[in-house]
Amino acid sequence: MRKKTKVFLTMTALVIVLISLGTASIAKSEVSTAQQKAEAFTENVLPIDKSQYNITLDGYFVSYPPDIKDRELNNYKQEHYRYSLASDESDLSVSYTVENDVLKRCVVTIKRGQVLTDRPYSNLNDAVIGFLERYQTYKAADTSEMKYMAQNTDLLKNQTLIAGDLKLKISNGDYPFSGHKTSLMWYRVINGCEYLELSLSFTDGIFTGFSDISQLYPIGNTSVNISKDQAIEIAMKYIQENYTYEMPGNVWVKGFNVNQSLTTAVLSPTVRDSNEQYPVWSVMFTLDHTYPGSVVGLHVIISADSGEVLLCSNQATGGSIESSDDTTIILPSQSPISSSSTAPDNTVSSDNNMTTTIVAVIAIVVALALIALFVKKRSK
Amino acid sequence: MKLQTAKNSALLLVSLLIFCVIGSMLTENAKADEYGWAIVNPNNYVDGVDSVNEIYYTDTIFNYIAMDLNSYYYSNYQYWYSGSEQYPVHPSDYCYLLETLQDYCDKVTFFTKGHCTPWGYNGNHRQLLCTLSSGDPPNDEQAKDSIHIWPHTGYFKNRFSFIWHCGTAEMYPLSPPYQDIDGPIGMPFCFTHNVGMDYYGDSGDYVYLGWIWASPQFDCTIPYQYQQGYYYWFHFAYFFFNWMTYGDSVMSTLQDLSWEIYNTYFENSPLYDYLVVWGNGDMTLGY
Repeated sequence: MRKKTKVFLTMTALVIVLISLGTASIAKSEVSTAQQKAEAFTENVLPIDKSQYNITLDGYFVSYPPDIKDRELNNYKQEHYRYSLASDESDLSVSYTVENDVLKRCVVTIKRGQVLTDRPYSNLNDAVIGFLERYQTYKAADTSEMKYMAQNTDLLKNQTLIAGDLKLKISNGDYPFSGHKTSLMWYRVINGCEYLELSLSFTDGIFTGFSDISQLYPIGNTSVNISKDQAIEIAMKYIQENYTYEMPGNVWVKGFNVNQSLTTAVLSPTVRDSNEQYPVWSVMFTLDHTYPGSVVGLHVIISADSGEVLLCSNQATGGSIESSDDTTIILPSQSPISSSSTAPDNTVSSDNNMTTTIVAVIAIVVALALIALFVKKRSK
Repeated sequence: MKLQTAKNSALLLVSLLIFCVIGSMLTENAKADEYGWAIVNPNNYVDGVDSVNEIYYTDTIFNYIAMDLNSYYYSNYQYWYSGSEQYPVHPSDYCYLLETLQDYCDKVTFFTKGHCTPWGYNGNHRQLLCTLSSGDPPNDEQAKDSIHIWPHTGYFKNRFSFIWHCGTAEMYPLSPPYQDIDGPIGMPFCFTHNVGMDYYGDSGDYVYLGWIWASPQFDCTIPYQYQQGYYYWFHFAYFFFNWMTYGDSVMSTLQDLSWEIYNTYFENSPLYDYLVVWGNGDMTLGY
């Protein structure tokens, strides 16, 4: 009997050890490509003294878009990693976003104290150039043009610089609770359209963020065959002849008039229904009055290549607050017929109590059964 | 004798086990009951206020937000009100929700999306439009800051409020007397009873988010985003709550969303000074 027990105990211990080893080995092999990308950035690019910080992964999740008809985001799946970096001098939080195994951004939040940098930086220019040098090695991409632009420029002055087809927009601002922030955004300008190459942010001269979508969404067809005026004309024709939206009661709103002096059209990239960036005209109309649905504007996206209308979205607001009249709600001038409605949804799912009760009852029943069994066996 | 001792020991052990299990469950429940939440979307079917798509996408996104908050808080006090013609959301619903939550919970998270207009002395006050239904007098269906909100938030429990209606970050009284002839002024004060919240602050026990000027409707593309026509405002609301359930603070989430949409930090995006955070932006949903 004792021998059997010993064998049983030994086997159990062996199984536990094997399971532990197996789990450890699985855990080790489960460091994903995305996580490797994030950690490689921490190791090779993040301008902090890693030896001074205790770095731990304290958050991970995968972000999916809502499954919602006619508004799907193609191929969207993002992995988010959040690391805490703790030292005696300061605490940081560093979050990474990886999409399709491409690191697209890193955001650093300084939670406490002074950041311990990997080396002393004489000024913001030095910090920017230092970052670009390390990023060049990490990404294996040439950043020499960007470095050149940042080298002899007053980065604390809001300005836009152009060198060849590269444009650098510099913005600065002081914020009471987040310090002095500097934004540097480099764009590659092709046929008048600005494609983002790299965006950096620094807070009080310390690196606090970057975004780079050029690898994730490479530049595709850059043809621009439609002028700004043509784009506005196409968009105007579309909203006057084709665009309509539904109000309750099966009322369709159409025939829009705009305040022409407020119309804007900007040539800008998009990745709608594509894995590559391509140029579109983004035309924004301000309507002559508020239309049903609290609609005050219309946003039309037109392919800069073909002139095709890719999207028209209304711009509606949550009520007008222009009036100081205390009895009148500003409602759209056209009032469609009141209508039927959807099923009531005032439901509240609160079955947590029930679940807890069931588990408690099961636990009690199992315990009582064990007692009964034990007592019965012993009585025999 | 030995048998009896063994029985007693076993009974004692099993009883202890049972008490531990039940005890831990009760503790868990008590912890869960600290938090309560409500989300309200009045919707408007009449008088041309909300389009069909707006109502559909708002209902759908609220469903997602409800699921996220449910799985995060696991609270016994959770409410999701979605207005319709048959079941309109009235000002009394706001009163009931706020009163119930403050009575039974220690910490309250509140999100509402819809329309808002000014009212009261000098237009100082704000009122949340409820569900206007065809049988109701059109001007009796607003939840007024000092009348329907203030009296039901007096226990200081509304620690996390996001009021996605027009102009709800405005009219926060920064100096006494904090009220006029129509009562306490503005939604930030009336929801929190706190007059010490900083503009994009980083300390304190309260956080309140609202809009300066016109709040965007959900079914609209976000203007000025880098990838034109890609994200809608309902994406913003969805990702805001979804990402927060993974432990990010309000400001971290807004920073992340800003980078995602505009490729730059929040303060450099069109959102700054538009979507306003009063109070402690470092608060998470587990405040």
